Amino acid sequence: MSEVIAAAESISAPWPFAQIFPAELAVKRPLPSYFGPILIFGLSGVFTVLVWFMGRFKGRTAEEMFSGGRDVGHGMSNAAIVATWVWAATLMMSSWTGYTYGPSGPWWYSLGATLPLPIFAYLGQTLKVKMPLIHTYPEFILFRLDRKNHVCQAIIAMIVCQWVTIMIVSGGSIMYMTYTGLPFELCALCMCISFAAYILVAGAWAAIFADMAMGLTIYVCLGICIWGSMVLLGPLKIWEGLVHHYTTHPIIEPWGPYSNEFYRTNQWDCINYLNAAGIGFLIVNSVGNLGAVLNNSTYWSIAIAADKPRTVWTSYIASALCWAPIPLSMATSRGVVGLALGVTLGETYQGGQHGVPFGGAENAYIYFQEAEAVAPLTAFTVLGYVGLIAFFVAVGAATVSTGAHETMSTVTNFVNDLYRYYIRPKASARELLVLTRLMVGVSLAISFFIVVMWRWLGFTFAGMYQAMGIFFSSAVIPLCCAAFWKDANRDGCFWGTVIGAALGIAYWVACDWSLDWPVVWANIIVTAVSCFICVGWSAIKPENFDFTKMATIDVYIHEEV
Amino acid sequence: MVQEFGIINYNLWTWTILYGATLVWGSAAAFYTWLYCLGDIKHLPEKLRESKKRIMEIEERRRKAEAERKAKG
Repeated sequence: MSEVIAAAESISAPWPFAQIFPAELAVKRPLPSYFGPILIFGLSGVFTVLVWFMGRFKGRTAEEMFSGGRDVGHGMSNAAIVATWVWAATLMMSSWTGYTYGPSGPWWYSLGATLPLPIFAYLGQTLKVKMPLIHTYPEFILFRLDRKNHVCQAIIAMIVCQWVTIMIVSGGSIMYMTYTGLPFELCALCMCISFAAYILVAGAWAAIFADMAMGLTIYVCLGICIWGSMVLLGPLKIWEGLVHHYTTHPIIEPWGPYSNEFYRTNQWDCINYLNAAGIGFLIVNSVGNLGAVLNNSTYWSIAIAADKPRTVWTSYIASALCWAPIPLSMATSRGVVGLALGVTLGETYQGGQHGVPFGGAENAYIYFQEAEAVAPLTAFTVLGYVGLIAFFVAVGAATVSTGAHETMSTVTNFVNDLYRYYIRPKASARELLVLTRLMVGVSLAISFFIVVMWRWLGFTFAGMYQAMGIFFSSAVIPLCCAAFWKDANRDGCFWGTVIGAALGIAYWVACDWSLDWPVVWANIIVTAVSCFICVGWSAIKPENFDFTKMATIDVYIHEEV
Repeated sequence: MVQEFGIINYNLWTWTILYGATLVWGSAAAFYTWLYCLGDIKHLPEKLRESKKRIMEIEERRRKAEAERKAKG
């Protein structure tokens, strides 16, 4: 261990995000390199065939392509929301919180990430009642506020969707690279290509249909992982491991961005209900996820595709209750188990060595390369190949479904909000349809380029997750004010969004991009400043907007024009 | 900072209860999602037929509008 620490410390970091990967250490892979691409293209291919046979006609008109037909029921919406909100972060980052903060980490993760869903239930229902024919939420902003707010929210919505896509590709690629040996860039490329397949056929409906099926698959796979740990280890053995960690203070993260005194001491405080760093993560998680859901067109597309406003309400409330236990149980069964077993960064583990080596895993080894990959590691060391493959399928399903839907949403925002209203207002429905398909490729090329670039710069997956709120959560309060408050002022909403984000980013940069408390404060600044400006401005200069006139506005994309 | 809340640490029983609760809650969520989803899938062919009919009508109207525009020159 001392050699590993010495090797890690000898490598100088190019900038504060840099993570040190000890490539010179022996790396053993439990799965063949072709496993990842086969899984990703297999899932994507199956859904492309299904969508082609069942609903390819949905891609014939721009209106259906963007709105999904507005006839989706509660069961399909609920499963689609759950699958969309389950991404690589839900499975990998939540487990990382269990590994880093102990049993309180999964609760903080789950609470912070579930919070936006009930808020969205009310927001989505309200907008569907006030303006039933919208295609994206910035379109509502155009008629409620003005053009500058419309452009601002459309750009933020695109940033959110693109950021989530980047995180999905990064998280999935880290996992496939670590456990199959396929180069990171090739993993990312395979994912980006697979995202395009079925959304090109039938747009939003295809994305929702695939989300639903993936959601059902994810539950089965996670059930295997979660109950497997319960049966093979049991609560007593996990508890004893935690107490051992609490009393002996071992160093289990000798390198990486979280290898410092702050994280180490909080990791040793693992059986505390109110782990201090865990509470900091709760704040970051709540602020970041509010932006990642409320300003994310993917969630809006599910609300827009719903058959009636009541469906939006019931589906989002039900999905909050159905989604919350996924990261909670997953992070407890993977991350906390990893902490209890004392799995250490830089060590090599044998398949099934902490449980049963199902599938002949005793002859395979796994190298613990990144703390964010603790979930698949413990899946393999506890449940052998059964656990590892179940986890891989769950991440694959979550990655493909959410990635494809986020890409479709980015493109819808660009085509419907920017191209249709500002670049070429007289564009025909057919032109919009062609452009949508073209932009899917462009959007995925941009995602791939940024994923590779950030990896080269050393911007870690956990860093992306904690920083996301700083870049787009300033738009949350202005959006809620515009939707619910007749006095919300258009200038207050605009400047609240812009100044909030600018101050949050400036503070974080001034604090040297730190992922300790400064990232928490930057998230708080973003939300507090945007709230202060938006609410204060509106209170001083109220608008008294009449919402009733919005219901008659025709934004339908007519094919005849 | 660390252990300042030590008085409210988990003990074996609270840990076991909370761990068990997460598993039961997760299983109930999976059951609910599967149940309602299968209910929706049952009505999917009917909804798709209606949707197809609507899109065919729109396409027909578009073809007519295009033909009229061409006829007018």
